[in-house]
Amino acid sequence: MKDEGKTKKQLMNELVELRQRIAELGKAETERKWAEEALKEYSERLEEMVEERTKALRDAQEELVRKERLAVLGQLAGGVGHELRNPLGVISNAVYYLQTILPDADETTKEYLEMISSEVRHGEKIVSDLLDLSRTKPAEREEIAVSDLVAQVLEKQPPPEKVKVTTKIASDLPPLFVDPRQVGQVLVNLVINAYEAMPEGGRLTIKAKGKKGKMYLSISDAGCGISKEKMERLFEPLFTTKARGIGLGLAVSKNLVEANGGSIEVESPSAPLRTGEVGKGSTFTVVLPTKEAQT
Amino acid sequence: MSEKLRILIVDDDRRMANTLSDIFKVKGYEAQAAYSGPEALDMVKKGRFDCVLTDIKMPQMNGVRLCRAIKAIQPDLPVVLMTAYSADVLVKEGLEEGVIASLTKPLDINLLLGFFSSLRKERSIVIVDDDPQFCKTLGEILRARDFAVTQVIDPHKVVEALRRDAQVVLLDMKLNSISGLEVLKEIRAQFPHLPVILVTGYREEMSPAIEAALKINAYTRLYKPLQIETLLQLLSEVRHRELGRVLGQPVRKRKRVKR
Repeated sequence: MKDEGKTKKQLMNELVELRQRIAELGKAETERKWAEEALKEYSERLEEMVEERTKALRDAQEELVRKERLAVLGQLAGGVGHELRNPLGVISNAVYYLQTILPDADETTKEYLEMISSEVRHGEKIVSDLLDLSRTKPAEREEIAVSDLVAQVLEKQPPPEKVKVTTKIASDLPPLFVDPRQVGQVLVNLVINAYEAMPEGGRLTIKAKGKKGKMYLSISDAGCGISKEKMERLFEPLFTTKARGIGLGLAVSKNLVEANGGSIEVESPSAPLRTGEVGKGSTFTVVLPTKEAQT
Repeated sequence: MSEKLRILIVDDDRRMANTLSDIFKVKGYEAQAAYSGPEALDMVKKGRFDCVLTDIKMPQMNGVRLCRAIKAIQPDLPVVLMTAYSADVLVKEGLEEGVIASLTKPLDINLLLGFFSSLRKERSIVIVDDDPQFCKTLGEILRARDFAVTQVIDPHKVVEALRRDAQVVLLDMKLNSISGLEVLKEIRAQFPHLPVILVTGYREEMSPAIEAALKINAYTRLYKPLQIETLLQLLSEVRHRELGRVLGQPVRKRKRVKR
């Protein structure tokens, strides 16, 4: 064979070449490993991304369903609600008349008349909640001081005997830029809920904090709190935790706050994750635009 | 006004019109019911009424059209709308047409009774000016138009004078012993919503004070010599707003007139 004739020098050269190739191969191996790892990482990230997107899509779909449900409910409410107001109006007039001409009626008669009158008011409240939900009027926004708005709400909805109200509102806060009627209605709803969460009495705290053109207005009760699964459905229309009530107050509130460029959040701080258990107290925070943010 | 207030109630739902008129009669008013727009219009033409309370949605002639027709006959007759449809476009149209307010059914009767008693009240005005001659002449003009006028020449006694049921204040911005702005602040501290119309003869000199006064919610300003027609128009605008406020109609800020 020809190779037999190779010189020592030739052999040395071949050896060097071989070593080089081995080194190159090793390098390629490292590169391959690196690429594999990158690929793996990328595929994991892709999974995450898909998951994120899916969640966003699901949320969007849920929101759509919520809106659709509201729209259907709205149409129905518009029709039924308005038609109910006429007979409610006549009943309410008739009772007013009877109560006026019968000041000396016996106690049972008086009690029954009062019963009709208060049931009419209850019915009227349901109708107006339904109508508010079906058609949120465009917000007529103006400047209003938080302290004034809160004072108006508490005047309209004074606390029951056993509930004490504390307000912590600094005097140097910028004015809100909202529809005072709509936001007032939201606060009335939240305050009523808070009162009702404390049937045995307790403290209601209303705080306002301004931050970066926004006002954080929070209403805290010392009631039994809200469980996690209820919390998730709280703003859905027709979801209620009350024995009386059809579950429109918070859905209406959410719509009204959003119509004013704000948002609403709920916290029930120490609520444990285990089912059925609830923490102590709830805080609803309404985030609203201030006048500062508009200029 | 010793006579009974005369109220016309219009609703195509007869039970609504009848129950309301029965309530108002029991409460000491003279009330009549009409069941359609044309019928109501006929009654306005024939008789005298002090207030019309009408439903909006009625066949033939709706409440807003009725209001327009009434204003053509008797422009100063206060019209109040009532409706089951709170977000109706007609409500907005009615407010532009000059109705006092639009109420949602079921009606808050006590609110309406409060409104009727405001309607019965004499229109009263307090004039604050340290020029006795000005007070006297303007006072006579307004009295001739059935206003109850109180004149205050000593600006330190304004708040005292206001205790007696004032509906509107005419305040001179340049007084001898105290600035008009200070008086306004005193008034605001006691009566946050009372409409105060500023008056001045010194346009340029007083303009910073007037700006400051408008900021703390003075109603508007007038310049001397006063145009009586302008003043009267302003006074009926103030009354319209105040009556609306009694019925819970939200009070809009008066548009600032740029000069």
